[in-house]
Amino acid sequence: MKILVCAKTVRYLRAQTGADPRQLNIGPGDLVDMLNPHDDAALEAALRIKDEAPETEISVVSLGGASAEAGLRRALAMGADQACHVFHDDFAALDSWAAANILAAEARTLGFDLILCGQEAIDTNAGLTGPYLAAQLGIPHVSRVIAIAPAPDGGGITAERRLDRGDRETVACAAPLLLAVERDIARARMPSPTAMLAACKRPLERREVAEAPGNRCVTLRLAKPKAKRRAEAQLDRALSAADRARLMMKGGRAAPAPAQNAALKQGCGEDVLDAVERMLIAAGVRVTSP
Amino acid sequence: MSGGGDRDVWVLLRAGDGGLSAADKGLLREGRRLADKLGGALAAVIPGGEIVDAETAIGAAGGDSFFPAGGGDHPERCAAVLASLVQRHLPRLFLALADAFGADVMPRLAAAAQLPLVTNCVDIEASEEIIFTKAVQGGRLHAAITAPGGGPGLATLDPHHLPEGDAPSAARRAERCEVASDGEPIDTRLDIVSRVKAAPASVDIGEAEFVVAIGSGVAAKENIATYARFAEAMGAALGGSRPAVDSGALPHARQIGQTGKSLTARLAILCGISGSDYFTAGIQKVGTKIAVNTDRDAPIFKSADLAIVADADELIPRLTERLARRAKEGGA
Repeated sequence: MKILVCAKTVRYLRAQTGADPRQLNIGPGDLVDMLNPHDDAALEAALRIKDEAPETEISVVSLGGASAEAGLRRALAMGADQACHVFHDDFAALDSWAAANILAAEARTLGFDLILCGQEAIDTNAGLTGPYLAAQLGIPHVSRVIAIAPAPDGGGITAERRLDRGDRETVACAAPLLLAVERDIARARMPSPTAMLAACKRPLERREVAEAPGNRCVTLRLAKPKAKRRAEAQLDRALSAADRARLMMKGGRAAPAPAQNAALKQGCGEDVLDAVERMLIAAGVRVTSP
Repeated sequence: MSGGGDRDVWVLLRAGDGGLSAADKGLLREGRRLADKLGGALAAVIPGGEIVDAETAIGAAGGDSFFPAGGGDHPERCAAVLASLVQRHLPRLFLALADAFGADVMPRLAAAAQLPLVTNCVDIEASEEIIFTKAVQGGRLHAAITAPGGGPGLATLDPHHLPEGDAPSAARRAERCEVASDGEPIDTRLDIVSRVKAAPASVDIGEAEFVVAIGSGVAAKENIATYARFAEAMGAALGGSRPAVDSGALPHARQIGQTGKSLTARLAILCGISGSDYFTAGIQKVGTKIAVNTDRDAPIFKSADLAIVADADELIPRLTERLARRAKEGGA
């Protein structure tokens, strides 16, 4: 089986230590170039398939500027067979659709049975490159994958995906397909120093993007998040100074008056049990025999 | 200019248990705001299932009309149905929740209908141009994004940033729009083998639908079994305040509050919890709060919907018994 892993080197804002709010408080050293951890996990998932089936071939593709090279070397050191750098200097200006377009062309050249990528990149938090890539290649995709099991006959894949509130779904699909994996699917292995040194000597395939495809979405500006809209402080004069101070510290929300809001019940009588039961049913609790 | 749909706002609703969830209502409210801004109508698209008395339910939440679109739970089939619907009517905006369903279907729709999509929006501004605001860099920054061209734009909305509170009072009846099916079978490649509901005992406490929380008042180790049995009977996850975790009664993953998890439960029963600010920081988003405490002046009663002055150790076994009896009656 041939697995293609798409990995992005993200420019991640890990802190805001700068003094200048016009620069969004981004100080020197706040932005770090790193392999997107979701993609790291995708590579690890691919390597685990290879651990089971050694004839598996893993290629890692990275679209990016000069910073992408370090991530590709790391991928080689972790155990990838081939690394391909699709060079585009201004790749931060590409939107997900354009990036998927370039990656699709590369994927067609390299060939694949399975494509793995991270669910999203931690710098743009869009989560679209994977689905768009699958659509452009005309293959199905599964998102939010947390476990992968190759079907025993080798033809298909079953993937477990995460739904809301801890629910899970299992999906089966024939290859070729794309899986967008969650960060916690697997903890990426740490390459040994010797493997890192060896990877530095191995060749990277490098291709230039001749002409960037057009964007569908344009980022106009970045800004610091606005403070959440909160209710005006309604400082109740009847409250004690301590209570008023507490109210202000909580963001000025008016304290709910307990006597009006809450129904107060006492003891463990039948009426109390009835009241609780009514509330449980109203909230949609389904009782089961313990 | 045609009087067509080029100012309309659509929202994607998933008929869950036959009713609209709080998030669905928040989405409709946001849709209403944008439709009023654009001078268009608000339509809900329901790809599968039926909403009980949809005309009134959607109307009361602000919708003008709705499309029972079909397509069901299968993301590929659903996206294909939505794509043909969107291409026929060309709404200005099509919004969905950024939950498991919306986040899976909308990128498929965007690819199939060749439309721009912005995921996880925290705000949308509609004037001459539509500007989507979304959190990037893990929430450190907000990016303002636009889709040039003026055609339909798709967006998924972060459920945590939807407007809260009651729907606008104008009660209307939403009109049912029949969707003509072109009869062509939709080819699906993914095979959904199974869906598993999370086991309440093992689900992340922050994601649990119902929670039973214990505090220092009841968190003796020998009591845990009583509360665990109660939680199991009502299909809830068991959590606790920091004292309960510090005493070793519960693991840290089950801690609620400022140094633990924030709950998003629909209902929580808080037993023997005094209600310090450190704890209540973690229950801000809980729908219904029932507090049980022996101390009539416990601060937890200030934020509770039902306050019970009683010993939880006495009340909870009785409630468990009551639920067990109910389950037996229901099963018979």
